Amino acid sequence: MTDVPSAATATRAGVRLPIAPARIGLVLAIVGLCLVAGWLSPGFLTPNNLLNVVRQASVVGVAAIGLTFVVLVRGVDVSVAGVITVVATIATGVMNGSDANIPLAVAVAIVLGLAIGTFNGLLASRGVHPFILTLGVGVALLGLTQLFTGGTSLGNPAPSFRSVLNARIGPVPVLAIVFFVLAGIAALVHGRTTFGRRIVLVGANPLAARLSGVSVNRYVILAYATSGLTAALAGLVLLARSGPPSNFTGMGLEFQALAAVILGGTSFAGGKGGVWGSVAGALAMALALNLVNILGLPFSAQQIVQGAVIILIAAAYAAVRKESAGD
Amino acid sequence: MTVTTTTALGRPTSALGRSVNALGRAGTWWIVVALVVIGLVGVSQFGSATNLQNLLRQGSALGIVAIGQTLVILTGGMDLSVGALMGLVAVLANGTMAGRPENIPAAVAIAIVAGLAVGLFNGTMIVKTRINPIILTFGMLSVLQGLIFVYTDKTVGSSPPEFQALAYGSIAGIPTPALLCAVILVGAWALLRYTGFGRYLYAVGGNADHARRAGIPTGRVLLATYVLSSLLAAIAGLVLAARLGTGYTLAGLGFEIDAVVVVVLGGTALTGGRGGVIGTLAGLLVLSMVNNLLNLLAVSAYVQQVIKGVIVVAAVAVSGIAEHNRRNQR
Repeated sequence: MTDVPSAATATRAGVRLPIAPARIGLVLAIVGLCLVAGWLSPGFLTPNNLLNVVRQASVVGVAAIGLTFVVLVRGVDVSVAGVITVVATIATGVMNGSDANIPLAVAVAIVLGLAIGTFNGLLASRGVHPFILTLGVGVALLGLTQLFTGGTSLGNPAPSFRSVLNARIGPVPVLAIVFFVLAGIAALVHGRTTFGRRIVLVGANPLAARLSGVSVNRYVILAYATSGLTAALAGLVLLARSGPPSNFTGMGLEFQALAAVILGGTSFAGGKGGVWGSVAGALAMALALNLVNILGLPFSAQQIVQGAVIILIAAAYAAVRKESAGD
Repeated sequence: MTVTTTTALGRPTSALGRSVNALGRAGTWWIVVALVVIGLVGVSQFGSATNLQNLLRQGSALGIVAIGQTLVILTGGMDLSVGALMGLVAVLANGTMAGRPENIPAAVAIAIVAGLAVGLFNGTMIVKTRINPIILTFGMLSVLQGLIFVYTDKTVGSSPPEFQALAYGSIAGIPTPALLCAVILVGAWALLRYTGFGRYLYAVGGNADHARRAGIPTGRVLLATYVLSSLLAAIAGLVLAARLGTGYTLAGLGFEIDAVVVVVLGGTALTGGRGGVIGTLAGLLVLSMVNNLLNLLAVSAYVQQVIKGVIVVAAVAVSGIAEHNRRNQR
């Protein structure tokens, strides 16, 4: 059992790069994207703009943090777009333009995210197909959001909520700090806690986990709850960044979050991968979509890019696995 | 309900087991009967000839694409790119026809080529790289939706009346699209029941490794299945194009989920190897009638979306938990 969590220990320190050449590839891809973008648009490689990209990546990145845990236990959660939208909408309504309501709004968001995630986990742990399950949950959540608002946006976010989270400490945007602090916490949980090790074990070898007395169902449920939680936090980040949501605010974010996780090297075979990979994946996605903007390409090109990234990276990982399996 | 009968008896190895399974699948048929009764008793317009024809017309495109989805799910995979492919075909076909009957052959040819191309790509990628089919086709969904917007960012073209007959015509009193769907259904049923390909398909879905060791060309079976799925999606896209009469960019949105739900409602296991297209017909009737009844009762679109989500979750939950129990019991 001791050698199974090695994937986890490897991810907690960036210096100790594991064998994974894919991770080096991801770093090279990020550097390459930066250079191309910088060559195309002279203002791109300024620290200010790069930090802005991190800020842009924060919504997808925060959602991808929890999604990583779900993919680690061989699941998938595409309800994140629905959670982001419903949380942003309800938090706006709860804040209702007053700073006094911020703690309540944050609490409601967290409870909502945990509840939806736990629901997903309860069903997924009992053998329900997670993709279609969470797709259905996402559809229902978007419907509920529209039902709640009647199709228009309700209320206003509290003024300090937006001004504080959109401020900068020195040159660094607060949202970027929030993103990295959350990622750091999740990486610690993944790499240094019993919870993290058990998640890795459950994903890598559910049978071994069961035989060694680990409740597989419990860790699957907790993984989905984590994803619900980070999706809710991503909803708050989105609210801070973009203001009152429309009914379709979160649409398409599930593609980007999933792409970020896959890009980061967390594989559907379970157990392998980590939070920092997903963070790097989210940054790469943000850079790629930024590049699309710099090139002056329309929204359609973004959709093609995010789809192509998902296909190419997942295929590359799958092909590598196939070869290393010697088949 | 359905499920417990299947669970209790485990795998349908005996003739008895098989007939119990068939009975189990009939569970969805009981829902069909219940919905018909509810409709006839509770909703006045439901039983009118116009409404029943509408129901058949509206369900046909979904039926055609769900038949393809059944084949894919029987192999243990899933094709989430079909909805966006239908949408792409709808805009390409209407854009090509632009109201001119002489362009119909070109529009049909383009649809078939698009279907073939996407199917060959999906199938080849899955066979050659062993990429997870859900992730591949999910990515493909995004790519195809992007291609739609590259082609046009607004509603484009129109169908000439000759082409609209594909959706609005009738042959011997039966709506043309329903007839087309029925022909495809019978074809798929015969393919699964009477050909080597059909048996291979079940074998691959039951256990791909065993199938490979038994000498079944699993790669070719998978490739053919994804090509069939895309081709049927292209045909469904043509029916959709004719029904809308114009190339609406979001026309295909959500068809992939509906198709999966119809298949699951029909009792085909998402784990592969068990089920068939007759069940899919029952699932199609259930989903179509629920939609039809909600529309007749003038339920708001928002509530309908919530109900849709609940149906999706309930369908996969029941089928998934049943499968889970079945496996644990073995």
